[in-house]
Amino acid sequence: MTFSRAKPTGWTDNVDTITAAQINQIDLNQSRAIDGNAGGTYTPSASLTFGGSAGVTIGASNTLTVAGALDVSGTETVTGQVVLSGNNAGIGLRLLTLNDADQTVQGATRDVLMIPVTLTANRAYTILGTSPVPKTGHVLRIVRASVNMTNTAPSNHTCTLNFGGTALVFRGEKWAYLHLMWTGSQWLPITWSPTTLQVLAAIKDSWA
Amino acid sequence: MTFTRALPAGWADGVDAITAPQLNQIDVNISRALDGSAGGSYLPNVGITLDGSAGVNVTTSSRLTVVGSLAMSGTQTQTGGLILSGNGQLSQRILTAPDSDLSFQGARYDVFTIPATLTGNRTYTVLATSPVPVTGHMLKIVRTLRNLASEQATPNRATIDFGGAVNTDFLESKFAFWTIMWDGSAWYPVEWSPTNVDLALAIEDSWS
Repeated sequence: MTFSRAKPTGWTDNVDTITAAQINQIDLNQSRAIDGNAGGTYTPSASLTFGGSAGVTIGASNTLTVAGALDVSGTETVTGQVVLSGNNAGIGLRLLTLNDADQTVQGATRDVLMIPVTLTANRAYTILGTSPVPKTGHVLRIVRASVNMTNTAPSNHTCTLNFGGTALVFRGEKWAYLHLMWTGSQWLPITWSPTTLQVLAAIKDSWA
Repeated sequence: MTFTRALPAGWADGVDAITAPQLNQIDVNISRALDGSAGGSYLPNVGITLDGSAGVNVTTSSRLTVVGSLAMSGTQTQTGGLILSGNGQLSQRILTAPDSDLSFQGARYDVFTIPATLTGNRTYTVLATSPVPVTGHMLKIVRTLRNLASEQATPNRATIDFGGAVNTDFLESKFAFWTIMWDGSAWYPVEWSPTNVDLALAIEDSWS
């Protein structure tokens, strides 16, 4: 709080007079306070910070409108709908272009891992789920592609993906992708490109 | 601000008396001001607008709860987790292709659906200029029907042009999908359906 009491010990009838400085301080402070009844527009010179643990609540019949930026570093739990609307809406994901070298990545820190078209040797990429542990349901996309997939073939080097189970391998000279989801305890493949020989038998004729 | 000073010129000791209206004004205003110490519930009859550039902070130990609506027109930067819980949903922006050539801005949509019935070969061009998509923006392009198994698309192809040297065709009578991602400078394919004949060699047996 920035407002302070004009007389911290308080006034006593017939003992304390109110001075001009005191009433001026009270009057100035109240004129700068946020009006909880009539609302209004305020341009604070420093940010308003709500500490403690009581929080701030916007009632059900009300709307919190943020025309500026909203930075959320805590956990945002959405029990209503998130509607992408208008031309400027969008969700920006966290991309990482992997190195032309063996590499270990914490899967929680990224949403898309892009494997370079040109590798100079076979590479192994290891996906961890330890620091931080991913949120349950976090999806990590791993893809080897290029803007022009039909013209440009990737180099003839494999990409081995280690994510805790049996490693899966993108073959050389091929485009491929794999989506992993953190189940709460492990990475689970949920989407994959056609086709791996190893999983072909499992998915072959999987549609009637 | 809606509160005003009771005596804008201020009091001077031995000169200005405090009148009842002045003190009443101060007292009423303070009774309506937001309490930064004890919190409380407020029912302003007009909105509270915080302008300027100082911002509002809710600290780590506190919480911002929006039971009503949250209207975001600025950018939301999320460094904590985003959890969909309960009935929470993410609603995407859908554009249905016309039965004619079309250029559209990919940042404005999340899903582009192509009708099964086309009366001629069509070209759909995905732009990224106005607005430029946020890095990581995903656009799914799909030619499909609710009942894929029993109905076929008309024998007219849909050509998808998203900036590569070679257009990518959805062949005649086929259902297919692409997901392309804006990587900050180009649309980058991250998902594709099996299989475009043009791509068959590039993705065949892509897993070892």
